[in-house]
Amino acid sequence: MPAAPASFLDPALLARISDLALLARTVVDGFMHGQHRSMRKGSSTDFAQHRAYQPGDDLRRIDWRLLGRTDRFYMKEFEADTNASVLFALDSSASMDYGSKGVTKYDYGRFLIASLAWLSQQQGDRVGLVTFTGDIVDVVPPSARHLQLLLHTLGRSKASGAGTLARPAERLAHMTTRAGILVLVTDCYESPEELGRAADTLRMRGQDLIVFHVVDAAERDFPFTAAATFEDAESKTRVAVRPDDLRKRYLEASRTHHAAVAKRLAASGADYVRVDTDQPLDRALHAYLDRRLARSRVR
Amino acid sequence: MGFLVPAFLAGLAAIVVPIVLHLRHRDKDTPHRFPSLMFVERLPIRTAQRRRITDWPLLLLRALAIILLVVAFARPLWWKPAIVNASAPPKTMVLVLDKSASMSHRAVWSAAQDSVRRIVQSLGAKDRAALVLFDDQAEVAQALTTDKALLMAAVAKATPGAAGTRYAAGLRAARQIAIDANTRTAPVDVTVISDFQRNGTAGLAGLDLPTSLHVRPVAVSRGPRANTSVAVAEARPIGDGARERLAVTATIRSRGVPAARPMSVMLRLNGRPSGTKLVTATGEGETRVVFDPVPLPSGLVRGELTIDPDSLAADDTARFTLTSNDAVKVLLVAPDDADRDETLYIERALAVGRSPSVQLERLRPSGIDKGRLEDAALVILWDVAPPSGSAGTALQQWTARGGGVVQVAARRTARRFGTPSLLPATLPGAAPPMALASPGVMNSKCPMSTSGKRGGWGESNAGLPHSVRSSRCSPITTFRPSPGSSSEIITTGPRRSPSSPEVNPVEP
Repeated sequence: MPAAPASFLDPALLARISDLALLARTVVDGFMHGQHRSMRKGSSTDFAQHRAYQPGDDLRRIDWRLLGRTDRFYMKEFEADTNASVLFALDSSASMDYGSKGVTKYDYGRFLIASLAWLSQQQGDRVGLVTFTGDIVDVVPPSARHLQLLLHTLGRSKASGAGTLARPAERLAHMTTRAGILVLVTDCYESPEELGRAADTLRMRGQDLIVFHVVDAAERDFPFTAAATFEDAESKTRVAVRPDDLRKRYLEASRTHHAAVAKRLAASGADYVRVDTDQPLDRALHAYLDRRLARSRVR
Repeated sequence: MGFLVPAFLAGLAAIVVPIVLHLRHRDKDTPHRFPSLMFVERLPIRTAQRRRITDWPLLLLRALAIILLVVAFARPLWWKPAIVNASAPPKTMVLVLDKSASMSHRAVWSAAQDSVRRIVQSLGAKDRAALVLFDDQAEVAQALTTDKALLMAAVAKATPGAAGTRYAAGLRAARQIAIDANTRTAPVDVTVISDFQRNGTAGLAGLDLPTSLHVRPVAVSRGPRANTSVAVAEARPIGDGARERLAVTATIRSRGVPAARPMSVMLRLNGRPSGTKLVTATGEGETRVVFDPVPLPSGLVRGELTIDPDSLAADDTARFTLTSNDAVKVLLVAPDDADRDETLYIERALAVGRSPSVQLERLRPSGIDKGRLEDAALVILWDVAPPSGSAGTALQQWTARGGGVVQVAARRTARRFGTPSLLPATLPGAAPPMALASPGVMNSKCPMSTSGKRGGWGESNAGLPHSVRSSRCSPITTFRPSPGSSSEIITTGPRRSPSSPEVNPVEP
């Protein structure tokens, strides 16, 4: 698969584009450049099977050749694309509003959702949006015509307050009535078990769940050197620390947490994709498309 | 440069406050925001103990503000050097130096003299100055002069006195000098150098100073000064057998002394050491020192109490004077069967006397003789009949020479005699024969004749009187019912109240 031009996907460059629609189009066009065209097909021509004619069937789908050979009416059925319902859930807690290199995790999540929504729209999917902190904040129901509303809602949303996934997950599970794809964008600052329980809840109605774990470079590397007081973005707790003494144990704890989260989500049947805010968006888009293709062939 | 109120400079210690604030306030304004401390809080970390000043400019500004405030309160003085300027008019100055007893404190007086010297040195060649010394009165130590040497000599010659402080006296003298100087509209600077004791302000309210008189105070006292003083609490002669003794009690007062300090207190009588006590004076308060009674010299006695000298020597010595007291000899004649308690109160009552004191001698009726009566002033016959025989003769002769006799008739003699038999002897003519003496009868109801816990004089459990209650016994009053009557009516009730008359015919 040819790599997408990095300039179209670099988050630092994307941050200069204020219009999310333009941004999403730029990303998707850049990403899709050189991709296999079959991914953009609108309808399928692949034969699937025959079945007996029933009154009311479309006469145009009668296999006339088989009628000539067998003198019976059979209907031709083809493998066809189904329009999936894609619901994006964005963690809007204050911990997402952090960026050590210009792009905050929240911005990165918005770019990601906007791009995926644009891509999904081109695939003919219905797109919807949910933002949540401790509870659900904004809701855009999935619809084929809700892309602009989704982008608008995404553009004006802000990250603030303390967030947990348990309550929003319950409400989301009740909101989704048909099976579809649920894209969860969060920074996973919860225990693996709680995240796993939330994933179980979300997958209860047969939803495909993709969890994008957004990580900032500072969270990943803990590059601080000078002793300072650190303040928790959500709880406002302050702790005076010497980062040099702490770094090794912090990184180890961070790695352990990420591994535990991935393992628990896999156990729940969810796809776990870790995305770093200093990396281009293509990895996230690839992961999404892989998942989308996996469920694209339905009869 | 100096400071008018240098005590305020202690406020410079307040600079510590912004420094501590800056040290403690280190990161509260700019904490490092982080998405989540979930991992950090799980780790056993060592918190950073940073003590570093973060905002130097702000700290310096705050410290500067405090320094300026403190210096402003301390009121800085700049001693202007003498500027030789031919066009400038000569200055007239009156230096008013306090020489009261409180200024005799070692540190204060030298500081006051130095202040005056500095001012004199700062004078210009044509400036005139005068020196006034004052305590409760003022004296001109040096009239207005341009000669600094004369002023310096006057300052060196001045010594603190023993009198109190009255600023009005000094200012009045300064005003007179200013008027005599005839400077017209030119101002006259009056500089008062003192420790500014509060009790010296009497008379200031009525003092009218001209507007051309510029009064400037220079305080030389640096807060409360440690001082210990001695005073005579009591000096009294006490009758102690044949020889009189002197009991002296001193009071040691301390004020502002940092800690209790041991010191000796010496008593001198007529210049001779008569006793020394070692005491520990408290830091703040007073201590009483009781000297053992010492023999009282005859004639005029000059006593002196001295403590170890301190910075203020004026009150380290206390003096007193007393004259030897010739006691009045009183013979108390008590019955043979009378115990000591019976006459206890009359003895104690007589011992209370101070001026003159009473030298009491207790004896039996048979002990009355010419020798004992020789230097006696009074004989008290305590429930005893007038003696007969040689004792009675001696007593009669002695009373004829002016001796006084008081017969106290109590349970033994009152019933037997009814009315005092000696009375006619003391009432020869028209009553009353003496203005201050009148005959009386003491009966069992009279408080003087009761003893113990039955009432009368107040008593304590130890049997000693602790209070005195004055009571008048029923007097015997005599008067004739009509002019020319050959008999007198004698009553024992209230004066001239014939409620219970007892008629006793007497010979005129």
